Amino acid sequence: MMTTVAIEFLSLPTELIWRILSFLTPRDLCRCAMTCKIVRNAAQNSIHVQYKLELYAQGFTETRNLDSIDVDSRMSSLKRLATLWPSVCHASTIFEDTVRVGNHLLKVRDMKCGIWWMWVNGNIFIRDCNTNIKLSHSFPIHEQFFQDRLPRLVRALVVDPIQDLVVVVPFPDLCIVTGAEQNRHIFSVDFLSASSLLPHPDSLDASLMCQHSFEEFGHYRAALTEEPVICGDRIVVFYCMISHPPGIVRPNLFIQVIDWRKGQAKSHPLREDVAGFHLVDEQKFIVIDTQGIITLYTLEEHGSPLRRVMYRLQESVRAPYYLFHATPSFYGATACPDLEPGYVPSPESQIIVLETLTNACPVILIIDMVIFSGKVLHSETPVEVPWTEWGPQYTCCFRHHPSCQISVFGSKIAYALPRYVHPWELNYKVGRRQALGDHDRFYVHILDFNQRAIARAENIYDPDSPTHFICKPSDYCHAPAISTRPYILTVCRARFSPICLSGLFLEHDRLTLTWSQNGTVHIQVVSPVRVDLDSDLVH
Amino acid sequence: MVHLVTSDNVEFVVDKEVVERSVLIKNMLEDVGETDQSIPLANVSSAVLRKVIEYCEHHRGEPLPSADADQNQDETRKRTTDISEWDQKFITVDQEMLFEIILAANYLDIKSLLDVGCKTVANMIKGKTPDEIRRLFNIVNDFTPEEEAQIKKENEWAEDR
Repeated sequence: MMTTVAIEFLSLPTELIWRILSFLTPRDLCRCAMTCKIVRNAAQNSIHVQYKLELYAQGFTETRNLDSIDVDSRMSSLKRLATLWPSVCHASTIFEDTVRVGNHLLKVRDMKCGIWWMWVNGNIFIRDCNTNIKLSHSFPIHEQFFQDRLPRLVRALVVDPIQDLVVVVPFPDLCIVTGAEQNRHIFSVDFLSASSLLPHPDSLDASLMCQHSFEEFGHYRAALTEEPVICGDRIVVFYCMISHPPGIVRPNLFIQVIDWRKGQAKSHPLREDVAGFHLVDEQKFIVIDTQGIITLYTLEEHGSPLRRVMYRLQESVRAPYYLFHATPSFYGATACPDLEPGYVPSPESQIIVLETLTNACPVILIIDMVIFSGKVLHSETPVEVPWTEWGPQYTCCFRHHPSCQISVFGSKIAYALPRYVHPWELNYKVGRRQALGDHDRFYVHILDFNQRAIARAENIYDPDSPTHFICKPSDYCHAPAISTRPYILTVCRARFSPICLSGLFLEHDRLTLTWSQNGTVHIQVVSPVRVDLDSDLVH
Repeated sequence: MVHLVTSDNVEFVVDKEVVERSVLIKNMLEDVGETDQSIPLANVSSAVLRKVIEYCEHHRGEPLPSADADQNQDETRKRTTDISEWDQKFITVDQEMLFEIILAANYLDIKSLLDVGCKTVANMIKGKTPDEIRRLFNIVNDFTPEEEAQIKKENEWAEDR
């Protein structure tokens, strides 16, 4: 007679337990590992499981660049990224260059994946600041000056180096509407290749006509209220129609939602009195209105954008205008694979920073992007969330001075400050003396709001990882003291001159600073070097 | 036709195309060539083999996953725990049978069935507390209270925050 032993979960061989664990989310994985020693050991002995947890803790997602790399090497590069910005570090210059831009006022400039670009007076300057020789094929070594390939009058210009894309909006023409309910072409948008400034090969139309439906006759001109934003296939342009001669009525705001690959554009009205805007991804955008309400919209395949959830700001941080600072978008098909990093910040781990533009008491509000993911996206009728239900838990607030540059990457924010001033000590009344003065040097502070990394650092002792200095806002006198989110503080002990500082850009493993003076832009890229805390104290 | 004999000595006669969804049997048949001899499957009972054959019958003719798809294992698998409707109905069995099917699929090397089984177990774990998982799978908590407190602390970071 055969004796049968009932098969159970724990009687499965380890490789099958690994296989099951590999289908679990990090949270379920950790809960499962807490059940007994067999599962815990299985989880600890699988590099795939550990790698998945490490990715989750650091708030990254992988890009296709890592497909051919084995899991051991991926694990070690992840660990290296985690220890890159210890609480005290020096910075070594890895790239330095000066670009001659002529005597123009600084206009729009930005940086992504080591490609710096600037648009000034109808000219575009692109500079590859990567030190990797392999990359130098993507873009010419020196800045470009292709005036002849751009329209004569440019209203706006945005670059996305990964997609090799330049989006140009020529100055809109006057639009004459002779009857009611008329569809008219209001402005065009051109899609060029960033490396050649010729029409982009992947776009159906090199130049797309954007239409607007008018209700009343008259003479109008489109006015762009924000710079266009690129996110993968999607481009969003905010505009309003101003009548000629200008009327007294404040014009309504609209958006053009564009798919630049398929050559489609559609116009939608917006309800709010928009005071700030951010495109979260290809399907989501948020606006903040003058009443201090942040509204999340989802973009539907057909039909107008849907309002999903509204977060009300606390009164003390309201302002007439706001500026969003956020991580550049890594969405979209990569035209320059060498530029794409192996890891990009995962959407829910990122922060956005809301800078209030007010004379009274400027602040920056760090907002956890996790509030814009998950179930809020599926609510059919817009839900309004009062401040007390989200503010203290998902935000952090600091006093701010407009002269202090900010840059956001993933869960981190880089902040240019004088040496002995911490963000919580900024005081507008003392003003310029404490902010970036003309004679002082400044230091870059990096604040990391990754809550998983903080919780893990507090509970798991890892001899390989550097000690992180975790700040709890309640420890200091925050003003206005409205939240309790902890963060990791890093001070980069390299001194920089605040004179003519024009830009600060944080990326995974480097920091780029630019100074503009006398028709030139000086670019300096630095990367962190770990220092021994004790030896530093001796000096 | 291929003859299979299970651990409880039951003979199954199955279409070659169906049984070749098992990489183990496919390789075996390639090695020995055409034969009337039955293949003994010492690790699989008749009840389980019946289920496995049902699965293979349903999926006959579908392309087999390539060998190197498994190499890059977590790349292809980590993303989804979705199971097709038919598979879901098929795998609605008691726990013991579920684990038997997983073991058989592993032994017979039928990757798609193995994934259906493992995803089903993963879906059972989803959203449960450690205590609920223990009850679900009859797991005895073998940690000391001190160990348990420590482990709880170490794993807290992964909870939603």
